[in-house]
Amino acid sequence: MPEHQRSPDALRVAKEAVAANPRWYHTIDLAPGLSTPGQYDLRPTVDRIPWPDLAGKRCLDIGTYDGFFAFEMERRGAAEVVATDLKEHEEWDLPDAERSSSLEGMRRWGEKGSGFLIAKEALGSAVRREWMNVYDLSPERIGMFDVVFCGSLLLHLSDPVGALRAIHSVTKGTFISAEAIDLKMTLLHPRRAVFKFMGTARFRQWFVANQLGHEQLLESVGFRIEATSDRYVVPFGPTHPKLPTGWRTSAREVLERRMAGGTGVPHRAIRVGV
Amino acid sequence: MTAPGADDVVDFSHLWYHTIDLPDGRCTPGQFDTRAAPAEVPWPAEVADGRCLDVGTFDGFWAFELERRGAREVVAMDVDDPESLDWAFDHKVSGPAGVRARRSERGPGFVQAAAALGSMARRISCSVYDLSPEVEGEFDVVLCGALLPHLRDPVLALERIRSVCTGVLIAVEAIDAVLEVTSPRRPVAHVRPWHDQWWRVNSAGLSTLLDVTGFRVRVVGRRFIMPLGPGAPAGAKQSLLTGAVARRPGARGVLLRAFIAEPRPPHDQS
Repeated sequence: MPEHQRSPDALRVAKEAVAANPRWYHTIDLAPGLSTPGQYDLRPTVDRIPWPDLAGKRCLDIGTYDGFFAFEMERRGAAEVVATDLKEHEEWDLPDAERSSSLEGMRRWGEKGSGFLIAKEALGSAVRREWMNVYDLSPERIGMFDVVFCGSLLLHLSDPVGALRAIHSVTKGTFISAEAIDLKMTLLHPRRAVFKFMGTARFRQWFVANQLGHEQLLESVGFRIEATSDRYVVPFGPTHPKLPTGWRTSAREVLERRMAGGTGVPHRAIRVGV
Repeated sequence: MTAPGADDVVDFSHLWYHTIDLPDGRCTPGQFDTRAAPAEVPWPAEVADGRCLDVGTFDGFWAFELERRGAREVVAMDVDDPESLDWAFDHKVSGPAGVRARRSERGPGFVQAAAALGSMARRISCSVYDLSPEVEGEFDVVLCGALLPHLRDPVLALERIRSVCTGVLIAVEAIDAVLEVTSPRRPVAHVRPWHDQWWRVNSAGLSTLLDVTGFRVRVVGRRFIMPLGPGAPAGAKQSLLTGAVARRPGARGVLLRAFIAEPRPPHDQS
């Protein structure tokens, strides 16, 4: 049992540690009355994911950030969970032409991986974190996994196909890809794989696929689709920067409610086999 | 002594990609009829007397065109080994095998056409992903003709191109006709990994790709059609939409557009 569930002192220490972290990416429930103030709240999305049975499995969470899905897989009975991420903001997949100015903005976020350690400690988790770029995943470097999870990562990559090839190389059984999808392009092109270019270094986003584009990307590297979720949204957490108000935002939110059942970042989760 | 005739150097039974006019009035039987395309390119002044690089030269059509337009030096680059092309998962084996079986390797066509034309263009074997100033130095002009659809990682390719481009990039690129109509301003791409085809952008998408890889678009040509050539496989499917988008109703072929872009300094984002 985690220390803070036994003593009020330990809970206070955990609370202080949470408050001291300059930027939480994920909202994570650490204890009754203690959740991290993340930019994204993945909690309502967990039950939308077409999970395979994780009991006794060796699992990998790619691009774990504060570790939300790594801890979730552990909770679901995984025998071992490895979580990978970039160690430094400097390693983000940034366009050459924007690298220095983009990094400037990220420095104020503080150390990238500190939230994970605070959450791990508070949860008493045994998840093992390894610093590894998704492009560098290989059986030699990290071994093979029964279940691999990757959430909201592909949009941050300049070479999503290359990343998926690397993921394919370490997947023995099942891969779950829970990715942002573009609703307008899904509506406009239901039978055509289309990617929207985000084209800006500001949000470190490259491409967002429509629904079919996400499927075809997975199939293009040799995965076979086993199950798909309905569309859903990842709600913004309490610390997400405020969205601009205006008709554009309102129109987008109407589309999100109608097509993905709420407001936030539209997603779809796909479970594939090799 | 007489110059060698086309029959001595050109194998007309070879599978040609480009249709190239030869000095004796004949042309190579290419899969694509490239000949009308140069008229659609708003050629930049840098070509004349410039040091030029043609990326993904195949049979060399654009390299010879650069030379004809007064380039001081032309380097033509392509990959010799069909295995080094970006093949979709299901075509990693059958793709390269098909290239060999059809005798459509990159290289032989260029050598024959260069000999027939008396071209001084120099061909090197190198992947665009490996391009850097160390390979062949820097260039006043870099040209790529319908290259990006064949690349798994167009961002890396354009970043590599930028690393050797000091003057201007001429990207004569394939444009997705459907997205050109449905998304005239939104940058998007159609992705359908199939054989050696990956991303197909709309005009806004290509502008965005060029911007994020460090180019500023100087001029954009009009949309035009590159018709299939005499060597195209019989019964190749062609949409009528391409003709409509290029304002050439009834014309069929590949929709292309020339983007002239120059390297830019980083945007100030502070």
